[in-house]
Amino acid sequence: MNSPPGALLRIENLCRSYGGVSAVAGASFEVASGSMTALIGPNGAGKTTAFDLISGFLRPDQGSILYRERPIGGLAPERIARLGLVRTFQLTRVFSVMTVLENMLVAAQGNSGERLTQVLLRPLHARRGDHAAEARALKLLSRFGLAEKAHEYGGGLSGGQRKLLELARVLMTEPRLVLLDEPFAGVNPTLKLELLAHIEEMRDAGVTVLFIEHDMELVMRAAEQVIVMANGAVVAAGPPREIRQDPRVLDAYLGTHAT
Amino acid sequence: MTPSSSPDRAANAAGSEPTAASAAGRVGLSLGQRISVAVGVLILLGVCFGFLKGAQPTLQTSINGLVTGSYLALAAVGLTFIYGILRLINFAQGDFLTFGAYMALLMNVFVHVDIVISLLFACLATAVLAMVLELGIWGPLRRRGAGSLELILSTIGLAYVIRYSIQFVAGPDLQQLRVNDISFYRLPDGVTIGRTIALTTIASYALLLLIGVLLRYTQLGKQMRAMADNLELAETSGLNTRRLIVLVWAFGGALAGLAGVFYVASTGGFDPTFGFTLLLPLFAAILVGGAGDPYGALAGGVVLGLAEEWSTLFISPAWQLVVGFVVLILVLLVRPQGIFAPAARI
Amino acid sequence: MTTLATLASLVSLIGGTQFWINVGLLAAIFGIFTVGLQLNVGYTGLYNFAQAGFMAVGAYAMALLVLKAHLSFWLALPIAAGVSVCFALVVGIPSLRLRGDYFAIASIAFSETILYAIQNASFTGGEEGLLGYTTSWQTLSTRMMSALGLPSQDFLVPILIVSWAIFLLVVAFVWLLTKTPWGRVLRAIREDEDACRALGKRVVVYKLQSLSVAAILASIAGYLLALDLGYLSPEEFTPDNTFIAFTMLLVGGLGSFAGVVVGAVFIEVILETTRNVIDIPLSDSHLAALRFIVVGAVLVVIVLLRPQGLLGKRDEMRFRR
Repeated sequence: MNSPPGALLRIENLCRSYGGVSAVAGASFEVASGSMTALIGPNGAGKTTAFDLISGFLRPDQGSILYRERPIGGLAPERIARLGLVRTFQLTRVFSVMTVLENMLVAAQGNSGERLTQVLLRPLHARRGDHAAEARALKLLSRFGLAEKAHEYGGGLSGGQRKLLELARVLMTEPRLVLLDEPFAGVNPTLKLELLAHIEEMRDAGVTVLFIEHDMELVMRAAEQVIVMANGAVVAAGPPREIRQDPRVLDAYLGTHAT
Repeated sequence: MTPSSSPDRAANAAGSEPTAASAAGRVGLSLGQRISVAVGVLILLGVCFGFLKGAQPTLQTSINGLVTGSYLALAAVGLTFIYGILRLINFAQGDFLTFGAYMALLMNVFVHVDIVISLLFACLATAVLAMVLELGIWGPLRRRGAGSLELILSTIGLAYVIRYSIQFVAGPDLQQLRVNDISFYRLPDGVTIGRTIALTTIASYALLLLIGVLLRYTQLGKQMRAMADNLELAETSGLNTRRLIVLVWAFGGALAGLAGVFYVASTGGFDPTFGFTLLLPLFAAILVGGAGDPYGALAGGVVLGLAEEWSTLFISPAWQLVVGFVVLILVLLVRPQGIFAPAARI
Repeated sequence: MTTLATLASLVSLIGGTQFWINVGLLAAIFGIFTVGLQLNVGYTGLYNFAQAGFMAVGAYAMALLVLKAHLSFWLALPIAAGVSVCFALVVGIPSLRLRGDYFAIASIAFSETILYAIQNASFTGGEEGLLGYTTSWQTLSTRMMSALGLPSQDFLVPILIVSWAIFLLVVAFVWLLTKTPWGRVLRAIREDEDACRALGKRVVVYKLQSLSVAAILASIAGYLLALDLGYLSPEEFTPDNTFIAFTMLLVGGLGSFAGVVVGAVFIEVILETTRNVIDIPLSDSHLAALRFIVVGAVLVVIVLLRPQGLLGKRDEMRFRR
């Protein structure tokens, strides 16, 4: 996959507050195309808010968000997702009352059977889009070890399986840039490595990854770039080795034990 | 509906787009300032209408508005806590007013008891009704994990059962309480107000003030407000929320019953459907004031009462009810967390 | 065969053919009404309490187009449905971004406003109602009766047949719709709107489409009711219609279209039985009150004891939030 050189995502002076509280206050950072970047910082630093702003779930008060050199600040989340910028949420949002396969099929883009006008005009073609999508979905599911669960309800999966499904579902959208909000949270160490392997595979296939994470070991190991946020602003950015020794970063955590 | 981070849930109390709600909230006035602004706006409107339509009609409708507003405020204050704590949209609350009115009717007209005692009986009976429903239906439903649709539908079913049981027993014809509906006071500018109406209105406002004081300074009041703010936090801090919720229902039921009696005492004839016609204005009053906020509910009631009465200056009185619907729609679309609710409130 | 015989004798016991024709007619009419509600509530997660308003708009628009604009009945049908869809858009566009239960209140407020307006506006005939739009239908109906060789007292049979034909067609059609990828997105929206938006779905558009389909179905139900009654009166278009439909919905089971058929018949049997079959010396108003007490009680009992209804899926209830 050919990614444009340079920054795929560029944030400049992003600001957002509510109820008098400044959640993001002048944050600026870049995410290089094809990279694996970690966004870290103490609780309340504004990381998830930054994700909400980038993915369109919140509108910025000030500042710009450039994705592939196009401003996307304030666009609707579904529009941004269709541009190839897909995010996950802190708590997995797997569709419980639908099967695993259906979860995957919903993620497929460009299925004409999803448009009512198309369904009404060409009723016999309604399910055509599903055939191709199904094949791709089943392939992805087996890569993630979920193929046998294809016809089970999402609600019947274990926590770890849901994390895997959510990751598989993101891949189903054929994204360019993926924002993963704490993908490893609450997950046992073995599964963490499994998830990490999948994410690295994703990156190797050309998808740019930006993830929020608290597990420092994982960050040091997996990330090429680390962005540190505190109090709504970016405190430091650079390769893991540099960040680890940066006194500003230690300050930002204010002595809190970051595991 | 709500993005993941919790500050958003604050601005998104009703789940509408974050921008609209927080934009309005960013004006950042304190509660006192908001009340002053609101009162100022109302007075300004009153003066404008006075110029447009003449002093007497404006004053008369303003008085009428304050009258209706007092009963709506009473019922709204009682029920805003239910809504604030449980987030339950109770379609039966209009029928609580009906129930109260008919209980008073039973005592006053059929058992020939003094109106004041009938009133107290009505409050008690409606409080008991509310408690029984909570203990028998809503509590068990919530604990079973019923979704909001099921809860709403149960309130609708109960509304029908209450309303039509009353109609079954008492018939659909108009009834009236034995109150003095003839004497009236003459105020300057040709404005009149019935004696009973004046009494009930003043009693309502006095009671509302008393309730405000009780809520602020008694322990029960503080607990109720704590639960309305954050139910989970209140639970973990050791409050026996289950018992308290039953008491909140009793409180809401009693006030609704009282409001029902006052309302029919002042409007004269009533039938089993009158409470249901007040349901949407009641929702509007609660929402205007912000869920769980008794002062807001008071303000909301007054705003609704004035809006309905002032509308008669411009449109036919037949359309009065629609005013309530329109206010409700406007509140929902523009500022669902309430005009009087501070922005940072959840 | 003996079970059928006992069933038949039971049936004739509970009331003659007239009773069952009545039940059948109302079941089909309100069944169509409820299919739209099922699409909204059971499949899209939209608590649509405006359905009665949509029905009224459709029926009155049809009657007014025929009576005042002198359009052909058959032309008025689709145009009136279009009017109802416009009303659905008026309700939906501002309100659909509201959270579930707030949308419920907003939809009721809109619905009450339109019902009130219909009741009080002069051009809708106000309290007196409208009549005279049934001529085109009468022609068709008489032709059907002679084709089937029916005596004149069975004048409701044609509309009964047509209503049930439409009902079953509608059930099949909407059921098939939900089996498409479009229907799948609706189900996803019902469960988690934000996740859908994060996957690129334009949630508001889907919701508006769902609401519009429901409005069209409500209009169709409205036309059939208008033909059944022969006159339009605001009394027939109250929010009670929506609440009764919700009861049918719950009885049959959320998410089941076969359940809508079952629920509609079940509730109409109850309603019509309490109306005129029970041999208790009660006055009209008492019977009217009793009907609503029973319906309300059924609703509460179903919610308490069997929220998945008769045909709802147990599994789905397990995972529903």
